[in-house]
Amino acid sequence: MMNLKIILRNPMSVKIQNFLHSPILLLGLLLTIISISYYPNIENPKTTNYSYINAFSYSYKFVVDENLDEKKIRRKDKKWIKDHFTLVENQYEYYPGRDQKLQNKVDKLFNKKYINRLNVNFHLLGTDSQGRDLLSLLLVATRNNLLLAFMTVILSICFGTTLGILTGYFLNRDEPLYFRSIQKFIITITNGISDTPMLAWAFLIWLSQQILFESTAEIRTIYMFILMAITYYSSILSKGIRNHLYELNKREFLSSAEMLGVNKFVIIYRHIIKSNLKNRLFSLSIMIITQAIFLEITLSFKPIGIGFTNTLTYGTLINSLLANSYSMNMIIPALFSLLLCNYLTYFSSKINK
Amino acid sequence: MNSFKKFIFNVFLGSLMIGIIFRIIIWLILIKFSNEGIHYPWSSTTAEIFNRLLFFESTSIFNHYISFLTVTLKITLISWLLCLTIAAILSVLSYNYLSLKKIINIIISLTNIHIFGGFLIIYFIHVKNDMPIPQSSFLAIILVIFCNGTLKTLVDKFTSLLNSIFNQQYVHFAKSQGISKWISASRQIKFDLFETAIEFLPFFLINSIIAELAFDGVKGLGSEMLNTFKATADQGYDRLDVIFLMIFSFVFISRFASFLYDEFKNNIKKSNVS
Repeated sequence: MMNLKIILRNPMSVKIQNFLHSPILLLGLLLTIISISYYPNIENPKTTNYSYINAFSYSYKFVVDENLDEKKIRRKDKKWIKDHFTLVENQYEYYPGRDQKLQNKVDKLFNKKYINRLNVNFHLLGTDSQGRDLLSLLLVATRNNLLLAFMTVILSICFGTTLGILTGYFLNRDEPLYFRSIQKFIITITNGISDTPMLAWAFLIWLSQQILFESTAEIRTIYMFILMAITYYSSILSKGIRNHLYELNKREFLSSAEMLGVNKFVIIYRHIIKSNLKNRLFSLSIMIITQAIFLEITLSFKPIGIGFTNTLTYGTLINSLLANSYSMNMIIPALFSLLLCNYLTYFSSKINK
Repeated sequence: MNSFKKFIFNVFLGSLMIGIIFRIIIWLILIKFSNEGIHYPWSSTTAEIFNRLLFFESTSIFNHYISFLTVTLKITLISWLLCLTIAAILSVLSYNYLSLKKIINIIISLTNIHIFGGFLIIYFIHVKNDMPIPQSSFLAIILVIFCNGTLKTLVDKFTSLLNSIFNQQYVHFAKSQGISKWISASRQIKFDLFETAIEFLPFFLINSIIAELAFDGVKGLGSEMLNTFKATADQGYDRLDVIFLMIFSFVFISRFASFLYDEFKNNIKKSNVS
């Protein structure tokens, strides 16, 4: 039944599916998000209205002409406008939201039609409590999270692949005798690390850092991810690679290549990494990216509070939702991060299949 | 290596070793605190310092610890059993009724939102309605079942298990003789489901710990672990024994689950051969 379904499937839909599951699309998407986030207006979103603005809305300002004296406004109000509005290019301007009392007064003037309201910027996803464009914040947060996750992945691939190939192939032989002992020792250590809950490792690293060197929360968090990559994630990766290599060993082509006199490093590069491990490594890397994003959210989560505090990340954006939960806007970063992680997990499972 | 030896070396001693490594690191940190001026009752002589590493300070810590362990185990086991039941029901439904398959797939793909995603939704609903967030184990269990993504993995696994079992020759033969495929394959279904269920137990333990971190009121090993590490870092409290016991039990439970899984698999292999 399944085979029949595959045969009858429209070739165009198969092409579309293949495109959707191609690593190039994923990498392209992630790199596009990172490069867009460096655009100056996005990196430093201007604060105009100092309050929440809903999605698909404009930020606005109140304006009145410079020649106030010619207008039919009460003298008291004229004086108030001159005191509280800023004179910019022949008109008095006021951006709302900074002070509730002032805002009430401005609203009264607006209702009396003494002053006008002008739209300033369009905000697709609205703004945060400080009036910063949420889409820009989200892009910058995505970039920071992805860069942190890429760093974690690169380090864990370097250490994890080395350990995995060492234990799964290089030391996985009976001669010389001490190879088995070294292999057992490394496996015991990596299994021990990967069996410990991730949060326990994170807490231990955090505690050691607190005591060993004084620095800001941001630097400590980056170091924590570096150490997590070297210890925890590389252990998980090495375990996955080792098990994969045990399966490859059963097919005996590695020993045949050795018998033919091929150099071991050539075998490692050509027969193991290039032809067999590429997809596995890719799917494991995506899994680590997802885990690193979730770990960042967990550690920066306010009740836990051992992650970033000032850097824009998903964790800090979600914390601002917890701090000011009267607007629906701040649920957007949470939903976006979950969607991204879901997509990555789905992608990883597709590659695994 | 026979089962008993494997249990002693891999499960018990292996978990003990990891607990001891954590104990040594925390002990070294406490010594550093002691050198910086924090006074501990055991920090006056070298013999006492080494005694602290090797022995428990008091046995009363066990009562305290067991109450936390009970909460965590309760959340883990209840959520595990409920999630298995729901996954089994959903997989049978999506296997039997093809029209339901897509709806079930959509519903379960929504469950992959991480514990904190679920917590934020609960938080948002309660704060919007000006209600305090309930600090109950019930909500932690709900989050572990519906938000950690395991439900989707389990349903996918169970459905593919059913597919592979019902496509076997002996089931087709039984069917041709008028015996229901469920009856003929019931033994294998039971074994395979149980095998998958044990494989997933450690995931539930880890997710229970994360769920406890989100709810302050649920006093399990997860929340206690956070408090312990924070108390050690901020005030320099001596929580050596608690940390050792927690790490030992975490690793022991997850290794014991994988030991059971291996044993179960081996026993099935042996019975198949015989």
